[in-house]
Amino acid sequence: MSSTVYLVPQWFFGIDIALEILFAFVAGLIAYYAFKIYRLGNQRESELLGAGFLLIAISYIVRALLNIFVLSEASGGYRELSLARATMLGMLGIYIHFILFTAGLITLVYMTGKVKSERLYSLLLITTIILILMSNAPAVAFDIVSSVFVLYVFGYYIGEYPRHRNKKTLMIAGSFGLLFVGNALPLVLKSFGEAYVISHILELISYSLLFLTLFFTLRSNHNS
Amino acid sequence: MNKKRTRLEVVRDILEVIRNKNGKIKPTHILYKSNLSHQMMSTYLTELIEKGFIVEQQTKSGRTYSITEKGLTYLSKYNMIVDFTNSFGLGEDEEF
Repeated sequence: MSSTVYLVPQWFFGIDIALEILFAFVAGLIAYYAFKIYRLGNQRESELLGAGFLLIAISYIVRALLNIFVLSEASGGYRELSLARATMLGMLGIYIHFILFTAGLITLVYMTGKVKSERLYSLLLITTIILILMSNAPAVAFDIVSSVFVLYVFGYYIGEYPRHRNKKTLMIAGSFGLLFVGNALPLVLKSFGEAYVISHILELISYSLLFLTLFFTLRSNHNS
Repeated sequence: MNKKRTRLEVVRDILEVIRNKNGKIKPTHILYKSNLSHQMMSTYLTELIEKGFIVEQQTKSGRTYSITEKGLTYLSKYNMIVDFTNSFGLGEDEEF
Protein backbone atom coordinates (compact mmCIF):
# COMPACT_ATOMS: atom_id res chain seq x y z
CA MET A 1 0.00 0.00 0.00
CA SER A 2 1.44 3.42 -0.94
CA SER A 3 1.79 6.17 1.62
CA THR A 4 -0.09 9.41 1.29
CA VAL A 5 0.84 12.84 2.56
CA TYR A 6 -1.79 15.33 3.66
CA LEU A 7 -1.01 18.98 4.28
CA VAL A 8 -3.38 20.58 6.71
CA PRO A 9 -3.17 24.35 7.41
CA GLN A 10 -1.80 24.93 10.89
CA TRP A 11 -4.25 27.74 11.59
CA PHE A 12 -7.11 25.28 11.15
CA PHE A 13 -5.77 22.74 13.59
CA GLY A 14 -7.83 22.90 16.72
CA ILE A 15 -10.74 24.44 14.83
CA ASP A 16 -11.22 21.16 12.96
CA ILE A 17 -11.21 19.26 16.22
CA ALA A 18 -13.82 21.58 17.73
CA LEU A 19 -15.98 21.26 14.61
CA GLU A 20 -15.73 17.48 14.60
CA ILE A 21 -16.84 17.38 18.22
CA LEU A 22 -19.75 19.64 17.28
CA PHE A 23 -20.67 17.35 14.37
CA ALA A 24 -20.54 14.37 16.71
CA PHE A 25 -22.84 16.19 19.12
CA VAL A 26 -25.45 17.01 16.47
CA ALA A 27 -25.32 13.52 14.97
CA GLY A 28 -25.58 12.05 18.46
CA LEU A 29 -28.56 14.25 19.25
CA ILE A 30 -30.38 13.10 16.11
CA ALA A 31 -29.58 9.51 17.01
CA TYR A 32 -30.94 10.03 20.54
CA TYR A 33 -34.26 11.42 19.32
CA ALA A 34 -34.53 8.86 16.53
CA PHE A 35 -34.22 6.07 19.13
CA LYS A 36 -36.71 7.87 21.34
CA ILE A 37 -39.19 8.06 18.45
CA TYR A 38 -38.53 4.38 17.77
CA ARG A 39 -39.41 3.46 21.36
CA LEU A 40 -42.66 5.41 20.99
CA GLY A 41 -43.65 4.64 17.41
CA ASN A 42 -41.88 1.31 16.87
CA GLN A 43 -40.97 2.21 13.32
CA ARG A 44 -38.02 0.29 11.97
CA GLU A 45 -36.83 3.30 9.99
CA SER A 46 -36.50 5.35 13.17
CA GLU A 47 -34.21 2.72 14.63
CA LEU A 48 -32.10 2.65 11.46
CA LEU A 49 -31.89 6.44 11.38
CA GLY A 50 -30.72 6.37 15.00
CA ALA A 51 -28.16 3.66 14.34
CA GLY A 52 -26.83 5.45 11.25
CA PHE A 53 -26.34 8.77 12.99
CA LEU A 54 -24.90 7.10 16.08
CA LEU A 55 -22.22 5.44 13.96
CA ILE A 56 -21.49 8.75 12.27
CA ALA A 57 -21.26 10.50 15.65
CA ILE A 58 -18.78 7.94 16.95
CA SER A 59 -16.74 8.24 13.75
CA TYR A 60 -16.42 11.99 14.29
CA ILE A 61 -15.27 11.42 17.86
CA VAL A 62 -12.63 9.02 16.56
CA ARG A 63 -11.55 11.57 13.96
CA ALA A 64 -11.37 14.33 16.57
CA LEU A 65 -9.27 12.13 18.86
CA LEU A 66 -7.00 11.29 15.94
CA ASN A 67 -6.54 14.97 15.15
CA ILE A 68 -5.77 15.70 18.83
CA PHE A 69 -3.13 12.98 18.60
CA VAL A 70 -1.64 14.52 15.45
CA LEU A 71 -1.77 18.02 16.99
CA SER A 72 0.31 16.84 19.90
CA GLU A 73 2.89 15.23 17.59
CA ALA A 74 3.32 17.76 14.78
CA SER A 75 5.24 21.03 14.64
CA GLY A 76 6.10 23.75 12.12
CA GLY A 77 4.07 25.90 9.71
CA TYR A 78 2.28 23.14 7.88
CA ARG A 79 1.44 19.98 9.73
CA GLU A 80 2.17 16.82 7.80
CA LEU A 81 0.34 13.61 8.26
CA SER A 82 2.05 10.77 6.44
CA LEU A 83 0.32 7.46 6.54
CA ALA A 84 3.63 5.72 6.07
CA ARG A 85 5.17 7.48 9.10
CA ALA A 86 2.12 7.65 11.32
CA THR A 87 2.07 5.41 14.34
CA MET A 88 -0.09 2.33 14.44
CA LEU A 89 -2.53 4.25 16.60
CA GLY A 90 -2.90 7.02 14.02
CA MET A 91 -3.45 4.55 11.18
CA LEU A 92 -5.91 2.60 13.27
CA GLY A 93 -7.82 5.79 14.05
CA ILE A 94 -8.11 6.73 10.40
CA TYR A 95 -9.40 3.31 9.41
CA ILE A 96 -11.83 3.17 12.32
CA HIS A 97 -13.18 6.55 11.25
CA PHE A 98 -13.55 5.30 7.65
CA ILE A 99 -15.33 2.12 8.77
CA LEU A 100 -17.70 3.79 11.22
CA PHE A 101 -18.63 6.69 8.94
CA THR A 102 -19.19 4.34 6.01
CA ALA A 103 -21.25 1.99 8.15
CA GLY A 104 -23.33 4.96 9.28
CA LEU A 105 -23.95 6.09 5.72
CA ILE A 106 -24.78 2.57 4.58
CA THR A 107 -27.29 2.30 7.41
CA LEU A 108 -28.94 5.53 6.26
CA VAL A 109 -28.97 4.37 2.63
CA TYR A 110 -30.48 1.05 3.77
CA MET A 111 -33.13 2.95 5.69
CA THR A 112 -34.08 4.92 2.60
CA GLY A 113 -34.38 1.71 0.60
CA LYS A 114 -37.36 0.62 2.74
CA VAL A 115 -36.48 -3.03 2.23
CA LYS A 116 -36.05 -5.56 4.99
CA SER A 117 -33.03 -7.68 4.21
CA GLU A 118 -30.21 -8.11 6.70
CA ARG A 119 -28.34 -10.09 4.05
CA LEU A 120 -28.40 -7.18 1.64
CA TYR A 121 -27.33 -4.80 4.39
CA SER A 122 -24.42 -6.97 5.50
CA LEU A 123 -23.37 -7.55 1.88
CA LEU A 124 -23.28 -3.82 1.21
CA LEU A 125 -21.42 -3.17 4.46
CA ILE A 126 -18.79 -5.89 4.06
CA THR A 127 -18.03 -5.29 0.38
CA THR A 128 -17.75 -1.54 0.84
CA ILE A 129 -15.43 -1.77 3.82
CA ILE A 130 -13.24 -4.35 2.07
CA LEU A 131 -13.11 -2.09 -0.99
CA ILE A 132 -11.92 0.86 1.10
CA LEU A 133 -9.43 -1.02 3.27
CA MET A 134 -7.88 -3.03 0.42
CA SER A 135 -7.57 -0.03 -1.87
CA ASN A 136 -4.15 1.40 -2.69
CA ALA A 137 -5.56 4.78 -1.72
CA PRO A 138 -8.07 4.17 1.09
CA ALA A 139 -8.75 7.87 1.64
CA VAL A 140 -9.66 8.38 -2.02
CA ALA A 141 -11.79 5.23 -2.00
CA PHE A 142 -13.50 6.47 1.15
CA ASP A 143 -14.21 9.87 -0.39
CA ILE A 144 -15.67 8.31 -3.53
CA VAL A 145 -17.79 5.76 -1.71
CA SER A 146 -19.07 8.15 0.93
CA SER A 147 -19.90 10.75 -1.75
CA VAL A 148 -22.00 8.19 -3.62
CA PHE A 149 -23.87 7.14 -0.49
CA VAL A 150 -24.50 10.72 0.60
CA LEU A 151 -25.77 11.48 -2.91
CA TYR A 152 -28.24 8.60 -2.63
CA VAL A 153 -29.56 9.92 0.67
CA PHE A 154 -29.78 13.44 -0.80
CA GLY A 155 -31.79 12.08 -3.73
CA TYR A 156 -34.09 10.23 -1.34
CA TYR A 157 -34.98 13.36 0.61
CA ILE A 158 -35.51 15.34 -2.58
CA GLY A 159 -37.96 12.63 -3.62
CA GLU A 160 -39.61 12.62 -0.19
CA TYR A 161 -40.44 16.32 -0.17
CA PRO A 162 -43.49 16.09 -2.50
CA ARG A 163 -45.11 13.49 -0.16
CA HIS A 164 -45.72 15.80 2.78
CA ARG A 165 -44.45 19.16 1.49
CA ASN A 166 -42.55 19.42 4.74
CA LYS A 167 -39.94 22.20 4.59
CA LYS A 168 -37.83 20.37 7.15
CA THR A 169 -37.41 17.54 4.64
CA LEU A 170 -35.97 20.09 2.22
CA MET A 171 -33.59 21.26 4.94
CA ILE A 172 -32.41 17.70 5.45
CA ALA A 173 -31.99 17.30 1.68
CA GLY A 174 -29.95 20.51 1.64
CA SER A 175 -27.86 19.19 4.49
CA PHE A 176 -26.98 16.00 2.62
CA GLY A 177 -26.38 17.99 -0.56
CA LEU A 178 -23.75 20.03 1.27
CA LEU A 179 -22.29 16.87 2.78
CA PHE A 180 -21.97 15.45 -0.74
CA VAL A 181 -20.05 18.48 -1.94
CA GLY A 182 -17.88 18.35 1.18
CA ASN A 183 -17.07 14.69 0.66
CA ALA A 184 -16.38 15.10 -3.06
CA LEU A 185 -14.19 18.20 -2.77
CA PRO A 186 -10.91 16.36 -1.95
CA LEU A 187 -11.43 14.46 -5.20
CA VAL A 188 -11.55 17.59 -7.35
CA LEU A 189 -9.45 20.19 -5.60
CA LYS A 190 -5.70 19.88 -6.08
CA SER A 191 -4.92 21.42 -2.71
CA PHE A 192 -5.83 19.02 0.09
CA GLY A 193 -5.49 21.81 2.64
CA GLU A 194 -8.12 23.96 0.90
CA ALA A 195 -10.42 20.98 0.42
CA TYR A 196 -10.03 20.03 4.10
CA VAL A 197 -11.00 23.49 5.31
CA ILE A 198 -13.88 24.00 2.86
CA SER A 199 -15.21 20.50 3.59
CA HIS A 200 -15.35 21.29 7.28
CA ILE A 201 -17.16 24.56 6.63
CA LEU A 202 -19.70 22.82 4.42
CA GLU A 203 -20.17 20.14 7.07
CA LEU A 204 -20.74 22.89 9.64
CA ILE A 205 -23.55 24.37 7.54
CA SER A 206 -24.91 20.90 6.90
CA TYR A 207 -25.05 19.92 10.57
CA SER A 208 -26.47 23.31 11.46
CA LEU A 209 -29.35 22.57 9.09
CA LEU A 210 -29.85 19.16 10.70
CA PHE A 211 -29.78 20.73 14.16
CA LEU A 212 -32.33 23.34 13.14
CA THR A 213 -34.57 20.65 11.66
CA LEU A 214 -34.49 18.78 14.93
CA PHE A 215 -35.04 21.97 16.93
CA PHE A 216 -38.11 22.98 14.92
CA THR A 217 -39.50 19.44 15.13
CA LEU A 218 -39.20 19.33 18.92
CA ARG A 219 -40.58 22.84 19.21
CA SER A 220 -43.65 21.91 17.17
CA ASN A 221 -44.60 19.32 19.78
CA HIS A 222 -43.96 21.74 22.62
CA ASN A 223 -46.27 24.34 21.04
CA SER A 224 -49.07 21.90 20.16
CA MET B 1 -65.24 8.49 1.60
CA ASN B 2 -62.87 7.95 4.52
CA LYS B 3 -59.37 9.42 4.16
CA LYS B 4 -56.70 6.70 4.20
CA ARG B 5 -54.75 6.58 7.40
CA THR B 6 -51.11 5.84 8.05
CA ARG B 7 -50.02 3.28 10.59
CA LEU B 8 -49.23 6.00 13.12
CA GLU B 9 -52.73 7.44 12.74
CA VAL B 10 -54.37 4.04 13.18
CA VAL B 11 -52.39 3.42 16.37
CA ARG B 12 -53.38 6.87 17.63
CA ASP B 13 -57.04 6.25 16.84
CA ILE B 14 -57.07 2.90 18.65
CA LEU B 15 -55.29 4.31 21.70
CA GLU B 16 -57.62 7.32 21.82
CA VAL B 17 -60.65 5.06 21.70
CA ILE B 18 -59.29 3.04 24.61
CA ARG B 19 -58.28 6.13 26.59
CA ASN B 20 -61.64 7.81 26.06
CA LYS B 21 -63.41 4.80 27.51
CA ASN B 22 -61.68 5.42 30.81
CA GLY B 23 -59.02 2.92 29.91
CA LYS B 24 -61.16 -0.21 29.63
CA ILE B 25 -62.89 -1.27 26.46
CA LYS B 26 -64.18 -4.38 24.73
CA PRO B 27 -62.92 -5.51 21.30
CA THR B 28 -66.26 -4.89 19.60
CA HIS B 29 -66.23 -1.29 20.74
CA ILE B 30 -62.72 -0.81 19.36
CA LEU B 31 -63.86 -2.39 16.09
CA TYR B 32 -66.76 0.01 15.84
CA LYS B 33 -64.84 3.13 16.77
CA SER B 34 -61.55 2.46 14.98
CA ASN B 35 -63.12 1.80 11.56
CA LEU B 36 -60.95 -1.21 10.84
CA SER B 37 -61.71 -4.69 9.62
CA HIS B 38 -61.74 -7.39 12.28
CA GLN B 39 -58.52 -8.89 10.94
CA MET B 40 -56.70 -5.55 10.88
CA MET B 41 -57.92 -4.72 14.36
CA SER B 42 -56.70 -8.06 15.71
CA THR B 43 -53.32 -7.50 14.09
CA TYR B 44 -52.99 -4.06 15.58
CA LEU B 45 -54.14 -5.13 19.03
CA THR B 46 -51.62 -7.96 19.08
CA GLU B 47 -48.86 -5.59 18.07
CA LEU B 48 -49.89 -2.95 20.62
CA ILE B 49 -49.89 -5.58 23.39
CA GLU B 50 -46.45 -6.84 22.32
CA LYS B 51 -45.06 -3.33 22.24
CA GLY B 52 -46.51 -2.47 25.64
CA PHE B 53 -49.00 0.20 24.60
CA ILE B 54 -52.05 -1.66 25.88
CA VAL B 55 -52.77 -4.62 28.13
CA GLU B 56 -55.41 -7.27 27.70
CA GLN B 57 -57.48 -8.47 30.61
CA GLN B 58 -59.77 -11.47 30.83
CA THR B 59 -62.91 -10.78 32.82
CA LYS B 60 -66.08 -12.75 33.42
CA SER B 61 -67.78 -10.81 30.65
CA GLY B 62 -64.92 -11.35 28.22
CA ARG B 63 -61.75 -9.58 27.09
CA THR B 64 -61.08 -5.92 27.77
CA TYR B 65 -58.20 -3.68 26.87
CA SER B 66 -56.68 -0.82 28.80
CA ILE B 67 -54.01 1.68 27.89
CA THR B 68 -50.59 1.76 29.54
CA GLU B 69 -48.29 4.65 30.44
CA LYS B 70 -46.38 4.00 27.24
CA GLY B 71 -49.60 4.27 25.29
CA LEU B 72 -50.48 7.55 26.97
CA THR B 73 -46.98 8.85 26.23
CA TYR B 74 -47.48 7.97 22.57
CA LEU B 75 -50.66 10.04 22.48
CA SER B 76 -49.07 13.00 24.25
CA LYS B 77 -46.09 12.97 21.90
CA TYR B 78 -48.02 12.06 18.78
CA ASN B 79 -47.48 15.37 16.99
CA MET B 80 -43.74 15.19 17.54
CA ILE B 81 -43.63 11.58 16.35
CA VAL B 82 -45.49 12.49 13.16
CA ASP B 83 -43.46 15.63 12.51
CA PHE B 84 -40.17 13.80 13.09
CA THR B 85 -41.30 10.89 10.93
CA ASN B 86 -42.41 13.15 8.08
CA SER B 87 -39.40 15.46 8.26
CA PHE B 88 -36.85 12.65 8.25
CA GLY B 89 -38.72 10.66 5.62
CA LEU B 90 -39.45 7.71 7.89
CA GLY B 91 -42.52 5.55 8.04
CA GLU B 92 -44.12 3.12 5.67
CA ASP B 93 -45.84 3.93 2.42
CA GLU B 94 -48.83 1.75 3.21
CA GLU B 95 -52.07 3.36 4.29
CA PHE B 96 -55.18 1.96 5.87
